[in-house]
Amino acid sequence: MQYDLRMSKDNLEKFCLLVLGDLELQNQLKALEERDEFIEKVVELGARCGFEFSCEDIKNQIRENRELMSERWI
Amino acid sequence: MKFENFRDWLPARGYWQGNQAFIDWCFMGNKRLTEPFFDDTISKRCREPFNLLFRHQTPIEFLGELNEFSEGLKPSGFIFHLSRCGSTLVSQMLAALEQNIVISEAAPIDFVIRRGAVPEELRIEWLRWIINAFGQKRKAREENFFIKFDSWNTLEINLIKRAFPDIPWIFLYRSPVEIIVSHIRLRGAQMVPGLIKEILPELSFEESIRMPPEEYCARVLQKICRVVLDLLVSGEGLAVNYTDLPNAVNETVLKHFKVKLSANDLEKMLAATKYNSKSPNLNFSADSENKKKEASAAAVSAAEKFVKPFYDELEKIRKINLRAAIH
Repeated sequence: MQYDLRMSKDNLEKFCLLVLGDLELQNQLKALEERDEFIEKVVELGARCGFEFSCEDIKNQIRENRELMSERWI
Repeated sequence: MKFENFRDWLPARGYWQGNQAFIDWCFMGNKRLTEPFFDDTISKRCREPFNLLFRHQTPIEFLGELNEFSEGLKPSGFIFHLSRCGSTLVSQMLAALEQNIVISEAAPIDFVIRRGAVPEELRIEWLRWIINAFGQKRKAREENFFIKFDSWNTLEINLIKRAFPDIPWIFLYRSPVEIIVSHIRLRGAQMVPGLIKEILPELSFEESIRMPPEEYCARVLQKICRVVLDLLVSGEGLAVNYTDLPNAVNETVLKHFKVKLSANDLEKMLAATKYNSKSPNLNFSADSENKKKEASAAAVSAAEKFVKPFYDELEKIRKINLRAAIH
């Protein structure tokens, strides 16, 4: 179970890097302002690109990013 | 890294990891910087889901590569100020027009300027890079580029001028007692002892906190005036008093920046003055009389003792400039 969690976090990180380098993928995501819709789309696009992760992984990542941002930015 | 992937992104913050400076980027899409301060826009954007999950993070040297690869707009003018003296009104007037990029007190610029431990030559290079990144055209109409610095960045005006020797600049100021009253109401970061450490290094933290707040504010204002006056006396820059706003923007500032606007644009720009620049829901109105009435004896005395002589000098220079402009 722990292995799977690490795998999916790893997959999400790889997918995030892929999106940052791919304008096509960015275009499909950047306009989504509603959080749940955005998260579902990220999961869907991730799966399409071969990266399995869950909505929960994304929520956790967003939480981590927020914490990191407050540490660095304040 | 492909530079085109950064087209719709702006540097949002600088930070250190060990000995390496990094830049966090924020996806802007087609949004303009229209809020009173850069950080207001960035905070808003960073709450969007896309920015919460995806963020470019680059070593600061990436800005140098971008500088080589893609030359941004050359700054049209720099805005320095004494704080609480109408600088946000000026930047909001300029930001009202789509052809203007206006960067107002951006944290990444302050990050680069206030790195005393970094050699000056490197800071100059970083400053050129970061300003080039902000000057990237994201819309076809953009043709003018203005930067309003944090008030305390005026102390580093010589470094900024070394990085950009030929960019015209203005210095906005106001009757010191009115500025002190404003800071006593709600203190700016530079007026809180210890927050901007470089501002009064001659005072220890203990001395600073024991000092009446009016005197601390007055000493900060004096320090800024002292630095900028040396340059204004030698004929550089343009001194602009709050009392001449908003008309001075059209009558003197834009001329000084060599920026020409159509009558329609001027009208749009003046329409922005109908709002309080820091709280756009409130109407803008000059508030000098209220501030003078509110001034405590300590505020009046600190302003007289520490800042008034410098204010008088600024006024002399402004009047000479005005006379020269008329003749």
